[in-house]
Amino acid sequence: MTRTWSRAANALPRPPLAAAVRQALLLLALSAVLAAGRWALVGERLPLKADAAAYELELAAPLIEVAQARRSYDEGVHLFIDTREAGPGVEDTVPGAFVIRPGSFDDDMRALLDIVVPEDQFILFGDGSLALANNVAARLIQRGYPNVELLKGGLGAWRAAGGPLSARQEAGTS
Amino acid sequence: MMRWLSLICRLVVGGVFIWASLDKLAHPGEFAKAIHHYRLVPYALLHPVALLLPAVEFVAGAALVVGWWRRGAAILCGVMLLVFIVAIATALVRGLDISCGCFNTDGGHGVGLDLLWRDLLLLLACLPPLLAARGGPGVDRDR
Repeated sequence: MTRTWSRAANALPRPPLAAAVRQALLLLALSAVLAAGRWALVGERLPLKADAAAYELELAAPLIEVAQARRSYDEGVHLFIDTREAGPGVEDTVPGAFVIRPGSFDDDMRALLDIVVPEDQFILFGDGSLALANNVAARLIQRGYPNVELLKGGLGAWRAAGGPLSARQEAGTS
Repeated sequence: MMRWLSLICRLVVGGVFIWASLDKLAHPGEFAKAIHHYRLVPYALLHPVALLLPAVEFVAGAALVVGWWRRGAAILCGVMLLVFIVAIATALVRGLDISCGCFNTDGGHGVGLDLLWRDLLLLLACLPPLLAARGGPGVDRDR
């Protein structure tokens, strides 16, 4: 009985649009497989969840991962800049980091004029939200210091990765 | 006559979609930024869309060019073009000064009325492969 009904259903002419929609859905499924394979196996692996802060800020400088930043720290090539404003929980920082804060940018820069030169390479970090570091990065670039990178995840990521820390002083280096 | 018109439309639309997909497949991060500039896709879907859309463009374009499941491929291309038309139109209405992200994720053509006309023409070119009884030379049996 079931076989007879199935044979009769197959004998009916299939609506062309329904067949086309079925083809479209199968092509869509094939595309999803291709996209998943490309994501898993080839080149740049985009995180599936977008970091809203990175998109909202329209970052003034490229991001640097904490592992790369630690290598740069060990090589001593980059100057580290702490952009966090003073406050509760801001007691430690990257050893040797200079302090340049958005709220006192001009004063902090004046204190460093004899120390930093435009050719220096900077890694800026904040509390992890990127807002402070991005603000300082944009102003540093505007002042003629183009070699600027932003530490992804800020000091929290640095701490989580086991990076060295020292007590922060509110002016000059730590 | 319809058969050859269908073939020409298949090659044009399919070729455009394949070409458009290549740079996006190579640089999904840059394409995600281009999508974000339209301010239409929520963050939760931004990267999945940036990964899936170029793959759909490539598969649908290739299917049209080789004549494999041309009707389904024409529907997919048509739906994508409708989405692009709506996105460009809303960007124009909102006065967004952004690059379209159509073929080149590194800058590229800014959104404008010319892009709307281009996508409308491509949308019309999806109709012959969808509606023609015979789709021209290809791997489908109903060519």
